[in-house]
Amino acid sequence: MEKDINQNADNLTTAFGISASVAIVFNTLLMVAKESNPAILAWMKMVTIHHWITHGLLVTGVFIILGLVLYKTKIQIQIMSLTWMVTLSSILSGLGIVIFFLLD
Amino acid sequence: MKEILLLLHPTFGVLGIIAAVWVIVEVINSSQSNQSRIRIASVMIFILMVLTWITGGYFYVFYYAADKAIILNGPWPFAHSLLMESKEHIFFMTLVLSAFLPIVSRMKNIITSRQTRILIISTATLIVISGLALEGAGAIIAAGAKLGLLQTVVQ
Repeated sequence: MEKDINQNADNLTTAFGISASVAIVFNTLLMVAKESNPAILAWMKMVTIHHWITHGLLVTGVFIILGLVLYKTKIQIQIMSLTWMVTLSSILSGLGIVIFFLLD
Repeated sequence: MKEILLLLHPTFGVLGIIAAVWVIVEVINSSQSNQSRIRIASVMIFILMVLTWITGGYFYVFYYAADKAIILNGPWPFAHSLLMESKEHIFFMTLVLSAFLPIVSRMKNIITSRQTRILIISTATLIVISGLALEGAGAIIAAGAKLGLLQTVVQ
């Protein structure tokens, strides 16, 4: 039997679905920030041996830490809203990266 | 070492994409008998994408500078300035989606909830599309390096 009306995602899926969307958008914003601001790029190079390593650690850090924080708050969201959030953030952020380097 | 990394990186990536297609097929045909396969395939995607990250990242950080110089001085500088720059950042999106998929796939209502199936299929599809784009970009970057080397040899 299909249950289709306004279902909420479970707590863990909601928390990490939102954090995935935020981390994906953060990834693009951090890329724009470091490519546009030499001071940020220099700081990212200083933190680890390469700015890309720092970038990866920050993105995964946002995903994990925000996910755990949201999991504690027991936030509720409908599954379809979560689907749209993850899908749109991925498409727009991916396009944003390509467009940035096309125009750069 | 460098050549092995260059082989392992796209191999892990392609296997991750295939595993994502596997998840999509299993979820479309969701039943009591394939729930564990959906979860196993989802975890496999994450492991394969982490291995893709490590192998590609090691090459990028320690060996890519020489290739970058060749590409930028060759006939296809866009292979670095557009494709490599985009690839190294879009990959983190694929990685995050790969980490999210096993969390969704552990939901207990995959068979009964069409919405849950749509969420899993959407996430896996994004992994497939971004993964294929990254594989294609990687092929063009390799061609950019080859053309750059050929130009150097001809000169």
